[in-house]
Amino acid sequence: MERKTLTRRDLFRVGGGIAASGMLPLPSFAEGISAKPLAPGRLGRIDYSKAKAVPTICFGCTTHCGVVGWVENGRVRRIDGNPLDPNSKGNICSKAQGMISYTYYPERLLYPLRRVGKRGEGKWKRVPWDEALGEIAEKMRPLREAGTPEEFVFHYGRDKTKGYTKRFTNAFGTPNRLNRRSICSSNRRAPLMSFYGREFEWESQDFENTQYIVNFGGNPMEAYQGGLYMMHRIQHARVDKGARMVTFEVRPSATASVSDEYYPIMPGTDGAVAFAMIHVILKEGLENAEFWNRWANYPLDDLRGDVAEYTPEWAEEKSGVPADDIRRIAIEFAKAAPACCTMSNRGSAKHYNGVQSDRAIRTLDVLVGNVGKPGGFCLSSLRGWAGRYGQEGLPKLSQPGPKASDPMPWGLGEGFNEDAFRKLPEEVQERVNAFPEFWRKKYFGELATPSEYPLAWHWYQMRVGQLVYPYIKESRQKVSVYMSFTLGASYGYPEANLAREVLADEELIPFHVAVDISYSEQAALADIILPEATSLERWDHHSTNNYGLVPYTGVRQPLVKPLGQSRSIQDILRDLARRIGGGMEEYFAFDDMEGFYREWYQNLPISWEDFKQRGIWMDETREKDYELYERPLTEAELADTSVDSETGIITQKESGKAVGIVKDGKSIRGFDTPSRTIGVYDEIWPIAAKAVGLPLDDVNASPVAVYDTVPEHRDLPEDRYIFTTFKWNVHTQGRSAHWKYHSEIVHTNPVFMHPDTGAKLGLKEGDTIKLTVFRPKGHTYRSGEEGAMGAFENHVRFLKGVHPRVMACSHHVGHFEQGSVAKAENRKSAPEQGIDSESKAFKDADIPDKLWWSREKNGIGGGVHINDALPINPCPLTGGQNWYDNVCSIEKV
Amino acid sequence: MSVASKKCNPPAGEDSVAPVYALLGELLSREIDEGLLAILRLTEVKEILARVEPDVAPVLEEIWDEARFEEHSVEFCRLFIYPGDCLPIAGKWTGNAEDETFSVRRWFLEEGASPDLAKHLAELSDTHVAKILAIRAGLTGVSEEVMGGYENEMIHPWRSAFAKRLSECAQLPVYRAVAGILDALE
Repeated sequence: MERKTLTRRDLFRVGGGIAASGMLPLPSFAEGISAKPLAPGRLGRIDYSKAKAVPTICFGCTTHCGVVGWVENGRVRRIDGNPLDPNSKGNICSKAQGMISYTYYPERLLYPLRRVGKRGEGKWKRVPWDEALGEIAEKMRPLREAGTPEEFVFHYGRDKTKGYTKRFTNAFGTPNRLNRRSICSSNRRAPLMSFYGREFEWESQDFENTQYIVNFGGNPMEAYQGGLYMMHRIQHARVDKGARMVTFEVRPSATASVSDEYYPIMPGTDGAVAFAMIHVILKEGLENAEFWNRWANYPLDDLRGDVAEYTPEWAEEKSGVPADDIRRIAIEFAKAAPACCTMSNRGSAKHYNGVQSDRAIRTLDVLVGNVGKPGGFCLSSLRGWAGRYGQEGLPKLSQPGPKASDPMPWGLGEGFNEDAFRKLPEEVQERVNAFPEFWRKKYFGELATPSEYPLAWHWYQMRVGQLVYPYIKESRQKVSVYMSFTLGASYGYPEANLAREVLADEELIPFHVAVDISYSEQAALADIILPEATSLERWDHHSTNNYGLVPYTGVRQPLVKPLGQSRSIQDILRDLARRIGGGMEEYFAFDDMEGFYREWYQNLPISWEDFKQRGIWMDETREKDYELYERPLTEAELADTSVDSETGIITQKESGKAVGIVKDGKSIRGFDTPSRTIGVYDEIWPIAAKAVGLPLDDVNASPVAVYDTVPEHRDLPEDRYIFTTFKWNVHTQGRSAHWKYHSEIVHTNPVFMHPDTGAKLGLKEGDTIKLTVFRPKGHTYRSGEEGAMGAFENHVRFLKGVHPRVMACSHHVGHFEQGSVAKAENRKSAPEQGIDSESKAFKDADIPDKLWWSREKNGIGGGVHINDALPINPCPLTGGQNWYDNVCSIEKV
Repeated sequence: MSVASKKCNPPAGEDSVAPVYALLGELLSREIDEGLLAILRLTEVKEILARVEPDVAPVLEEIWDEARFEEHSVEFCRLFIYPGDCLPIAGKWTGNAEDETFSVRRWFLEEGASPDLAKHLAELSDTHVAKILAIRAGLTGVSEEVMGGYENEMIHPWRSAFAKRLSECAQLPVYRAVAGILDALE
């Protein structure tokens, strides 16, 4: 039967029929409607006389700058920096505007969805919140009632609720609150904590006053936790005060590009350069022996012996950095002390030898005595304001109570969860039973505290996120309910295909709930999706280290109501806790989220309204956190303590906790380590090695920093290269590909190589190559397996300044979910790996005309998903992912 | 501040197209339930739907069990929520999904005023086609000039492109029929 057109009369008849039925009452707006639209065309200029400025905290990346959002007619129109933020000082980057992009993304998740059909099939229906939470609670409650709460796994990508999600998981009773720290920064935190103690897992160099910076692979211009805070200070120091920055990097990053000197360095050899610098400083007599002898727990002569063979010439052979330059830089650095500092992050740390490289780099600062000094390597207060080291005198800020206690550790004996422990594989039980006592009390099963990686949880639980899916597959932990929160494992973890395989398996993961703002690759494999409010729509507590060295706090507050039916994670977990019941509701007895946060900040010396208006609070009269370790202990702190006559360590009698040290007859704070000195020498590394059977000659087992070449880089054949990933300044991880303007700037991820390397390979710019990654060597996951891990095809770009043995590629783009912008013209990865990422995006009315980079328009095309080809490669002991060790081959396609 | 509203049915002959806009607004903003199905089964409605999409007739004739309702819910989600093959955002169909030209807010006199709509419509974005259509349904009593201005500015620029896309990608006849009705509004 052919389709017929309708006339106006037909429509009248239909309308009349509906009206007569009375089944569809009509609203009436005659009184409110304008005669013509109030503003023509697109949103006009912001009327600042009417728009409201609301301070909040950015969430474009993990730096969390203070910002101000302009809200007009219920819509956020623009983001500016908050000049009251002492860290960012009103500066922002493009990612701040990304918050507007992701809040108003047309394909944003706005409703709870329940899957229909097979998991991963992509068929959904909307369900009311009541129904969604009800179903989740029905699945979770029995676990708690049966005494197996550990079968609930909460796995987050970026939390930043400062303990609110832990409130939920503790109240539920599960220790399995997992994260992706090992994917990120475990290997740079572990050396810091080994040297300076738990409280200083992140440093705060005094860039404002420094004269010389040696940067080992850090890239604050583009991607570094606190990057923006650092860069404006670094640039002012360089431009206004003549400070110098030397960067060792594998490619000419944006930071390298603004450095005074840039040296392309062989990946994994930052430690060699650092050791050579130590060698030179000692040889030239430029060390600060007084500082070292006072604070380092290792004899200077022993250090001298350790580095005797680490000459600049030796380092040049390893790294490619000219020996004379290493020598000169070392001398310049030492002579600038104490107004000098090192900087390092993933570039140096994410290697098999990365922990030791960073320990060598940290040694440099101790050697020249710049620690805690003006212009030097400083340590400032970090998370929360609960009165920790360095937070003395600050108003105490803590989540309103009551808060549930941590679950019991797993083990045998009183005070241990024996039931959960006995379900572990025998070999795991044996290993754990043999642990020293101080670890047995911290062990909570293989997902939260993997026994093969004790330094992933020795200081606190950093976890080994990339092993979660293999461990679930190996049945090391039974999972009944799995909740992903802003997690991108299915896209961004190494061997992401394994994550997808496990998530798709309804026997391994019977029930999966995903909480997110966009339909991610992770959400695609859920049973229920819960739409989260964005950072412009929610509350959070904010505190982080200040590179201005005075602690401050801020508040993230909603600028607008959550769109659609989205809810904040705080609301979601509160409501879920109440439905689960069984006592959980006691910890969530608040309805008003603003009231909850008001109570959190109640000890601030300003009113809540004033604080909301400012967005930030800091005690302007407080001293900078220079030399925290030399601060005298107060009388109250000294009460009921004893002093070890040999070591001078001051210990609380009741708790046995070390609180200070006596130096020159004075009771002072010292460092937050067991010895209250700087842990240049730390027994924990060989202790951990012995506990897990790692040979003591492995580089990671050494109690002091040593150098060894990354196993798979030894005798690297000429036709093999090292594949490294990197981040662009307009993107953040895999979260930002659906931010339209950011993807317009960076929408593809070619493989960058040096033009000479390209010539050697017979390539020209734009050629397509197949890049094959090989299994890692060393003591790691699937040790001993050889051969190709995976491959992908991509096009080539030449860039002078890339180390000739390096292939560099970013990982932000190449999505196969996250909506039309993120998926735009992405190409398949190699046929045997990955996902066919062809999408219907080209049929999107909005995109094609704007897709100026399209190959159809003779542009460069979209991105390639690479993570399926990258091996799970946790560093021994810490579990930090060795992202930058990958050996690859190149084949022209 | 909410604009005062009255829920009413217009006298016959006056803006009789308004209920059609209202129905389209409902069909594009929520899943078909018993109530909406009953409206679709009204003689006049069924006849017109079948005119533009012959395959819809037998679907409306049969008894809908839970599976049939769910089938339509899944289709609704696929088309309009995620993956949103026919994303119901007005600007998307004129080349820019974030174009605020089609924000219904621009038509309300007082700053902060918002149309008094049912919850499932009120929570939609201000450029959602269902909201735009629902407000047109409520313009009874305004001058022809205002009504015409609203239709020309807010509906006609995106209507055909959206209807075309909907008719191409809808897998169930009800939604193809919706496309046909929408296309007929001139």
